[in-house]
Amino acid sequence: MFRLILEKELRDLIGTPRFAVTFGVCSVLILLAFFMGAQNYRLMQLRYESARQQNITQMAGLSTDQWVQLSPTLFVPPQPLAALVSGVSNDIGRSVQIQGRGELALENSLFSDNTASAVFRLLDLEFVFTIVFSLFAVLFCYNAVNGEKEQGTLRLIFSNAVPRDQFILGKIAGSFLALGIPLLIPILLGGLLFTAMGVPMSGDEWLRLAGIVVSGLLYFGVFLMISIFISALNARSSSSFIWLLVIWILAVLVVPRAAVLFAGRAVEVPSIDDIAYQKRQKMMAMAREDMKALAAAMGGESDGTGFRFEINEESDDPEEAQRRMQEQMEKMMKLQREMSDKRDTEMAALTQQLNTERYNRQQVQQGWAFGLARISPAAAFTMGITQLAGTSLDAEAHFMQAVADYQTSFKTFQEEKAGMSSGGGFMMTMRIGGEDAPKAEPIDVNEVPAFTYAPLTLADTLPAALWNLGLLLFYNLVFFATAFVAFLRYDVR
Amino acid sequence: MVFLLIEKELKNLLLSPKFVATFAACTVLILVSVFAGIIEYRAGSAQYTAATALVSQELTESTSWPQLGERQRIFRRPEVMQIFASGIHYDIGRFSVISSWQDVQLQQSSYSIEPIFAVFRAMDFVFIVQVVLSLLTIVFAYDLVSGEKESGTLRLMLANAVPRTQYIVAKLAGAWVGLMIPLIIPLLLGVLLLMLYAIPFTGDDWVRLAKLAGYSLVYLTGFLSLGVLFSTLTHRSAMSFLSLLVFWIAMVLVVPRGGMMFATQIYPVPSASEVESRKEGFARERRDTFFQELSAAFQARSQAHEGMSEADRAAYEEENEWDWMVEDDERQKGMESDLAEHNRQIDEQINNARAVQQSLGFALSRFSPASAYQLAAMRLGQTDLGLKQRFTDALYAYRTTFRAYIDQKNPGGMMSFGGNQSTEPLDLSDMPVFEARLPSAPEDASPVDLLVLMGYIFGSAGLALVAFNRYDVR
Repeated sequence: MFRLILEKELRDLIGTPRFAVTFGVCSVLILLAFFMGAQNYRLMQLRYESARQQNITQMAGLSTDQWVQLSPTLFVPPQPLAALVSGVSNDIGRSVQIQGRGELALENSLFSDNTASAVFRLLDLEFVFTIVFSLFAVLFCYNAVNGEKEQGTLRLIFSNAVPRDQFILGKIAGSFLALGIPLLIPILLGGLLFTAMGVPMSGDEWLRLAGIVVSGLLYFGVFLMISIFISALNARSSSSFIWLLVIWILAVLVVPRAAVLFAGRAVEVPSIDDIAYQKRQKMMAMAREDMKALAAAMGGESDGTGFRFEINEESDDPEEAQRRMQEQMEKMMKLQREMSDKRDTEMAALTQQLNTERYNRQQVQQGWAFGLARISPAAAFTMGITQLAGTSLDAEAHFMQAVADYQTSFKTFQEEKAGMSSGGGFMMTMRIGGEDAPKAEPIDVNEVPAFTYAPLTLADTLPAALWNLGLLLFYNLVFFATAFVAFLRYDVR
Repeated sequence: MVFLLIEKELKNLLLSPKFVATFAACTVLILVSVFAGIIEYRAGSAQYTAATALVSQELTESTSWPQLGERQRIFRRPEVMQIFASGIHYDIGRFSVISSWQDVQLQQSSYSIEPIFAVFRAMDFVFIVQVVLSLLTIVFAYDLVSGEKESGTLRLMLANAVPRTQYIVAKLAGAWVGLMIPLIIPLLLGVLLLMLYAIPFTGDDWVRLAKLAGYSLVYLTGFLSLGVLFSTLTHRSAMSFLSLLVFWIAMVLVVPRGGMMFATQIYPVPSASEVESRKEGFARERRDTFFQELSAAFQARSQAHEGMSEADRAAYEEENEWDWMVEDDERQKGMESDLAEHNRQIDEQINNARAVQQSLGFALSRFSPASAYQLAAMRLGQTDLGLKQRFTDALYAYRTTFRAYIDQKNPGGMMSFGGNQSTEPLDLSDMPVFEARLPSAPEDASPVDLLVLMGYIFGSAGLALVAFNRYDVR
């Protein structure tokens, strides 16, 4: 009996022009998302390579006495999955300038650069799934039960010995199979298109993409169950449609935004400007003290904004003078380095403290905002797939960790080469001038430590994503149960 | 006759559950969006005030002019109209450092420092009208004609001496009035909310808000006419709804995004990182030249007094010190102006390329009423795509004045370190102030948007008239 109902349901749905039109639209959109994603990825890759190349050329212009001026820029490498599920990847910066010391900041987000894209947003898979899939589900199932009642077929069916539970199970399973599974076809074609257009996807990335598609089906399922549930609550299909439309607007467009806005603003987070101010104040105070100390140690003077002293070791013996001068300079360099190190440690402690405070408050903020937003399956879905794609809020922290590790090795390298590292307060460099000074050679860029970034993998992202996928599954079960119960009590007359 | 028909249409609509649902949804959504906008605006203003206060504090703590010259930071003040149309406000940087060594560069966009708010983006009035209310308008209008046919009332009606033209005009007018009620009442409540929170709206801002409301009405009227058109082209309301929905998805969700994305791909523009690298490359070379010139000058000067006695040398240095300082300062200024000129050229190139890309994107997407409406609304909200340029231009202009001020206070320039400094605070009473209110966006720069929206209204209303006159009412 169940199979018979399932078959009837499949025929009912697939045979209609409504199915043809909607399926056509969805397929076109999915393929377009893959095509645009691949194009976008290639463009980003090109931009990334070109920016990196320019950075290398620029570094190559330095000479061996300018190691201390070396300050490479690191770029966030484009990820194929980010082209499909962009998440916040376009809102956070794409490049960071490295100095031996000091704090690092991601700058130049794609949307701050290309504001037109920021306004109109992108046509990616995330968008197609979130908006179109859910609308598709609502459109097909808003009259799943009451439509049959209006036509009179429901009465006809139940005049036969058809158990209600089997009927509703058949309805749900049939709708899911008829609507959800065909969507896999354009997705598979899109995947092929992605490969054909030369986007390199690793096995891990394919697995994550599969995870995204499974999430998409779960999300689709939630709206399908809600639609059948609402249809089984209402006697007329037109009123169930209005209800569903309101639910759809709230769940997809309003609740996620409103929850984040209101809950986010309710939690106070220390402002980044205030933190920057406190750090600058501390830095300047320390620099003032150190300048005075340095000037005093070298027998010069300082007013706290600058310093001066003379290294003037005169002697009859030019070699002796040279040697003494060298000693003095080494002394100064050593002092500077010690002071920089001390400042660095203190600044790092302060930064750590301020950032931890901010981070903790941000976590509380996120907890409230996302906790509330997850009431909407659309929010749970977006968060789940952006985690899988590595474009959630965690992605920035992951990249910055890699950058911080690089900074440590870069600092060691720079100190080896230049005797000191750049950044983090005042710094004085010296060049021995004169005609007979040794001619500086251009630096060998290959010596500069290479930055290799390992993007998030499935193992990193799955635990967090599972939470959201679990929530989607939970919503499926809840609405399945409510739809089931509602139909068992439905007045079929 | 027309008035009778309108009255009938209105009564029909106002008593329908559809109207109640639309009214309730519009009220909740518009009020929530205005309230969210107010919260965001107040948070942004508080952040702006705190940040500028910190900068002023740092400035007053400066003890020398060169130090002051490196400490100025200018923040962008949030504007009240962003409550309704946030546009690119959250996407572009909030401030720039004003310094002779660094180029003006907008840093730390709101979304980059608080990406949590970027996850689902803002929910402003423009978004609600553009996406949600347009969808509700379709729901309002999809069965105006085909629905009456299905229920049999159309046949009944036209069995009497009712001219078809009058009938369809009355349908449109009745539905229009029915649609305006759920839009205007919540909007007025939103205005009350603004007053309740004492948001500092100037006369100019009220005019803009009124215009924005006007554009929103025009935009939704466009969808209403389209609804009537589709409804007169089909015989079943389910079919007219389906085709309208496909049209809505295409025009509101796909075309604006797709158009811009295609433009980005057809006409790529170098990214900010590439531009920075290019600027930095030139700056490094130019600075190297500057330091070489400087050390050559130092050498020449020390060679000039070689062989002099200690006393003569001191006298010679004393005599020439000022000239040397001026000479070095000129060298530095030369370098700075070279850098500024080079950067300006690069920026100009990039801006031109970006303008071409944008107009291509607009050409591809503006035929969608949603794009046209959004572009017009952003201009009214002062958060249009030109905002970044206007802010950057204002910053460059201010930088020039500010540099001139520092130079005038400190004629020796950066090289004048030495005994002439004191630890007394500087007198900043005559320091140039940055005009926080940026120049307005040229509102009427693009009548295209209004034309597109009007085109939809008259085009679809006209077609609906023709289609209804040929409609098979049986």
